[in-house]
Amino acid sequence: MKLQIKYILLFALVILLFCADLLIGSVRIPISHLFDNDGIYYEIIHNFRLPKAITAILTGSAISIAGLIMQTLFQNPLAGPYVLGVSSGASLGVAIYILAGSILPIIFIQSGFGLIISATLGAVFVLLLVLMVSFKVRQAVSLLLIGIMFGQIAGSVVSILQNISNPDSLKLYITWTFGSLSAVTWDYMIIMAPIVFIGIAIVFLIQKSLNSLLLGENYAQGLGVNIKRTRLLIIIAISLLAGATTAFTGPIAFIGIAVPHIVRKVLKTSDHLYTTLGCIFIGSALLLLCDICTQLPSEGYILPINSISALIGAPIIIWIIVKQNKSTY
Amino acid sequence: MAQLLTKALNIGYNKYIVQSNLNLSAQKRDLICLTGTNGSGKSTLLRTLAGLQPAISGEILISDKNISSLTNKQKAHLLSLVLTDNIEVENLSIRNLVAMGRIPYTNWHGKLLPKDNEKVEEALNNVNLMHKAECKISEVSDGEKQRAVIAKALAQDTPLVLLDEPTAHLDLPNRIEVMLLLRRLSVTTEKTFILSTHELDLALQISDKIWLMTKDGIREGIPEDLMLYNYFQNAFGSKSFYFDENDGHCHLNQLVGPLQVSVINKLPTNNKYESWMRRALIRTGIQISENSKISINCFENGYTINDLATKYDNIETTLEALNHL
Repeated sequence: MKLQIKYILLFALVILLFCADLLIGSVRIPISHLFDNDGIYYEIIHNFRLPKAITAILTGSAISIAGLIMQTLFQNPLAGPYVLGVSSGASLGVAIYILAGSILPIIFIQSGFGLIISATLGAVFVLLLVLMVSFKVRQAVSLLLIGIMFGQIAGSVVSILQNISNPDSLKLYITWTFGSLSAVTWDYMIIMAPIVFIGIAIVFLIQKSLNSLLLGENYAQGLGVNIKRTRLLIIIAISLLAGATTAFTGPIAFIGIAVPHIVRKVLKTSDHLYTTLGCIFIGSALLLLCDICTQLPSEGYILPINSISALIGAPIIIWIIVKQNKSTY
Repeated sequence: MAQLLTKALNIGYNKYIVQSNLNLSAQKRDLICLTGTNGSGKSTLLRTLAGLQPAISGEILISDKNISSLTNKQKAHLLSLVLTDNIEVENLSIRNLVAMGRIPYTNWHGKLLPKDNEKVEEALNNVNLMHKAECKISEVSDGEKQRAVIAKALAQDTPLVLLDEPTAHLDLPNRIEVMLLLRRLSVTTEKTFILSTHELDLALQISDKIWLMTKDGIREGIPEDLMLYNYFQNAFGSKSFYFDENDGHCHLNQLVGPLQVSVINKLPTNNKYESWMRRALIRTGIQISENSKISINCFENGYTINDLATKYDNIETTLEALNHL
């Protein structure tokens, strides 16, 4: 099948899931009222479901692309923002901001920017640590374990902070960790959307260098790529894409690692020009699907999206490890 | 005009100098084999020439341009690389791998123009991989994969191609094929190929020049001169083997037992039954001495021991009989 046809089908799938996501929820909205201009259905869709669905698309695209370029940067199929502790780093940043902020005498303004900056800084911090270790440790599974350890360390610091913080900010933080797409209101959207767009734009601009990096850093340098600059741009892009989205929606597990693999399987290419676009479509579709699943159990009861995404993502990681072992022996 | 020139080049890591004061040159069409014992600095020299690590001091000129003043992209127009790094990319076809050689020439999103496609086809033709162009690199043999990487370097269309042990991991037929391919390419494409290798036998037979790396520096010369003046023996010399002074082949110094035999050719002409019997005796540690009481007579397709009537029709049974004597 030609690539263009696959893109058209994927785009149609995203539109379908997007509409389904608008209609399904604690209040089932009849399809005839989807384009209402006023009334109760309009209020629900416009103020609640539309920002949530758009957030699903932005977040799904962002963390999938972050996973894609992390797999290229680390030359490791198991790399992804969640497993390598970048999301934990973002959590740590947010924890320090929400929890430690509350015990400080200065009143922090709970603005989107504060949250974004702290999460991004936390993500960059862990990412730099993992990158440093990745030069020493080349084995895929070892790096994965180290990422998990960094996540544990960040988790412990968060627990300590939870112990000494006040109940109100604790509740705020716990709610954040469940991961929720509905936390992003229109006010936050105008901050989050541009950051995601900048991150994606960087990836599109350096996609030729990313393709060269698939052959390894030495070959990439032989093909004229400025390695240091490319590595820096990749880290900035990951921090913006994974850090900023995690700040608003909370950590969303395994989408970042799983989607790039699905994309490569579906599109049958590793060219970043195509896989980045593929990550936007499949990442959006998968997160919209996850969001629909969180609404399914019964009216008025919503599952945490983090659990649903892990249910889908974790088996894919197991499949990758099993497949890798087969090819080595 | 020399394609590659080094002036007072010192190479090494940090402050530790591996080789100093190198003044090397390579011409158009040259196939140069870089060889030497482990640790003599083959990889360091190749990596330094490739710009993957900085020189400690001195200059490297490629097509009269000093590479230390060039950006990576400018360097990519002058030299291309074939490394030992394993390439594992999902879904990558041989054609796409070769097309990556055009990256230094294409626009920001890597669009291939008709001229780029021509170069890719030409490179595929040169390494004889047209019929496998659409195969994934994960599905082809190691030999084909190595040829594809060489094609990528050809598509990059640089005057100089550096290859780090291009025959490692390959079986004998593929090693020979890759070496012959490089020999042919250096003539047809007029590029300069510099490759590091441990294949002394092959290197001696195909290269225009050898850069023999020893602990005391690099000896530059054509293979025959290096052989004739014992430079190989001095560089690699050890108690366990020696180079035949007449044909340059490498022979092992085997352990020798007390048994002595003489070998007599019973045919009027050169007899391969005799020469292979001699090899078998050397390998099994039996000394060959013309004065020995025991003699092996070599006929056409058979052997006898002393003047006994029993005829042995292969070397193995002859050796067994010898041991039971």
